[in-house]
Amino acid sequence: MGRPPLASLPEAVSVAVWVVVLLEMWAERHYGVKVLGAFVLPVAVMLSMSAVGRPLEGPDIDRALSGAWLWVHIGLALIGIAAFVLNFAGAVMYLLQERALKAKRPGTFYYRLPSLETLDRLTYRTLALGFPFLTTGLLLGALWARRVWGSIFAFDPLALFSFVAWAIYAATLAGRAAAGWHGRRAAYFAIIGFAALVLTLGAGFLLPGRHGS
Amino acid sequence: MGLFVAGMNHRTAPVAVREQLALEEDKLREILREVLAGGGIAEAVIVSTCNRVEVYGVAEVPGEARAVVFRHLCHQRGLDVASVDVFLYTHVDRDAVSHAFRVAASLDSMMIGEPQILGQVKDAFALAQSCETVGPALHSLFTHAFAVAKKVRTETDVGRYAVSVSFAAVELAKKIFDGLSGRTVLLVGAGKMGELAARHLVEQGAFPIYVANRTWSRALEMARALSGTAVPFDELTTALASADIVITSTGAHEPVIRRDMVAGVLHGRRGRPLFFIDIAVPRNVEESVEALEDVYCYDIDDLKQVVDANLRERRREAQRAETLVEREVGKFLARLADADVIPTIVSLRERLESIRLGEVKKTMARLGDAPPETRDAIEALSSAIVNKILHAPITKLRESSRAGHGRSWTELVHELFGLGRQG
Repeated sequence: MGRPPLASLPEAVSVAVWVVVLLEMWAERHYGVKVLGAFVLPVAVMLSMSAVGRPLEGPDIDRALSGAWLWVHIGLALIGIAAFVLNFAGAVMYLLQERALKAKRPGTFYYRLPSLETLDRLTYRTLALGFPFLTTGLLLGALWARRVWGSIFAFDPLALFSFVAWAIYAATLAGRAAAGWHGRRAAYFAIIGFAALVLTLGAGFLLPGRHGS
Repeated sequence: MGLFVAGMNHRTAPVAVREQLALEEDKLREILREVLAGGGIAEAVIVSTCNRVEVYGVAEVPGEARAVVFRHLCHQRGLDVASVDVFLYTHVDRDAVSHAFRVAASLDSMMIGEPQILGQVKDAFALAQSCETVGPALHSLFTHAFAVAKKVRTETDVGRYAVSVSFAAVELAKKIFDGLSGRTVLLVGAGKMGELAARHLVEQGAFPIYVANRTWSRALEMARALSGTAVPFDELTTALASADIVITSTGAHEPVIRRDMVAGVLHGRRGRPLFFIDIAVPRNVEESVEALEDVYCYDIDDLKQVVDANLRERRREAQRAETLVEREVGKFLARLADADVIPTIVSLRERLESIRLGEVKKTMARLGDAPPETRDAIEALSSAIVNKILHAPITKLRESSRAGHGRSWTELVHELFGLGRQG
């Protein structure tokens, strides 16, 4: 192709899936969470399915879009998204384990999932890791958009949704760092934030805009 | 000669019978030697624990061997053999192997997955070895059984989850906290059960330990026993603020830990979880406490419920372990069967090889000064013929032996090729 496989959204998503899986393998070792894959991989599969069947060769990148900045913008955003997939998985696992412990009925989740503290730390770390990448990625995109199209959002639904997701993650991070948010509340926010990210990708796929479809 | 196991266990015999036959080492040594000296039994190992009395052996007639062994066992205690006989079972061949593996892997234990049985079987094996009553058959059976037991322990969770209330509490703590080292424990009340739970936590690295009790001297005493610090009972709230795990076991009739006390200290904890283990009856922790966020509160019934769930989980894992054991039994028997026919295969090979060498030698002598290529060709040709001829009978021998009728085939091969009598 003579360019990084990131030009169209389906391509970029496929790359993101790779990043997710690599990150998952690292976290699995680092936190000793053997079942992490069971929570992350379904999301990874959903992501790759969403990219299947779509034209692999994106729309011709017009001259406005060429340049190294574009790849940096996409690459950083993808690493951020990959970290948030793990963030989401950690939050779901936390809520399941928390429920099992409060309900006092040990079941499959109680036996297979690690401790609440481990899961909470996993969620926090992935948030702290993903956020700077997402922020820089979005910032570059916005600057680029303003230079080329003269406006940050420029009729692009993906850009709009991604800003919403960013705001949710920013609030969670601030809450965790400053106000001592943790546990259930932090987990709910991680899930809401991820929902916004999924909407972002959905918007990219379904609605016309600068990110193409 | 066949492999057998005969005996009784916690399912077939009441404890009143088992305890009478549980013998000390000296007596077992004596019996092992006598039994082998009597003939009819080639090898023997006796496993004697409070839950089972079993003899593993190799004998011509397992039924007779069983009678001999249990006559000796009963004789030691002046018991009537007939009164014991109804509780006995006998397994032979495949069933005996399977039984040995299941016992060593703790699948036949009263508490499935309990770890002691493997050590007991190992001791019994070592005792028999020291009495020189272990031959090749039992040696390979037991070493394989130990390997299977290890495999079951590492590949299944059959022995993993706690089956006592105090260990279940420790496991719960590990599902809340990321490791227990450096966690502060507060022990309220000085009951035995509370002390036991606190000890388990200390073994896992929990530290420091605070002890609060209405009687100050008792608090001091318990604190000393646990290498902890005594705190005055009316400063419970202060102690609560720094504690991670609180064990309550006082005889108080009113709750000792009230909701307002806990709610008051939560803010300063910045989300650190607080785990109450309430083993007192009536309960020491107010019921509404568990509704608070980051607070987990288990009373004695909750802990028992966890133990029940653990038992169910163990039984589920035991199913997996059974499959694993069956597979290992198959492997073991196949290897045993191969061992049965290998001497025949070896002597058959030697026989044909000696014929070949003899004929080659004669031919070479007649050829005189033939070029080396010709000599090599004759070597290669004769070897190839011998190997081709050997292929079918060897395959047949292995197959028939694994199917359980290797004996008639080895005899046939001996007859046909004039291999001399079997040893």
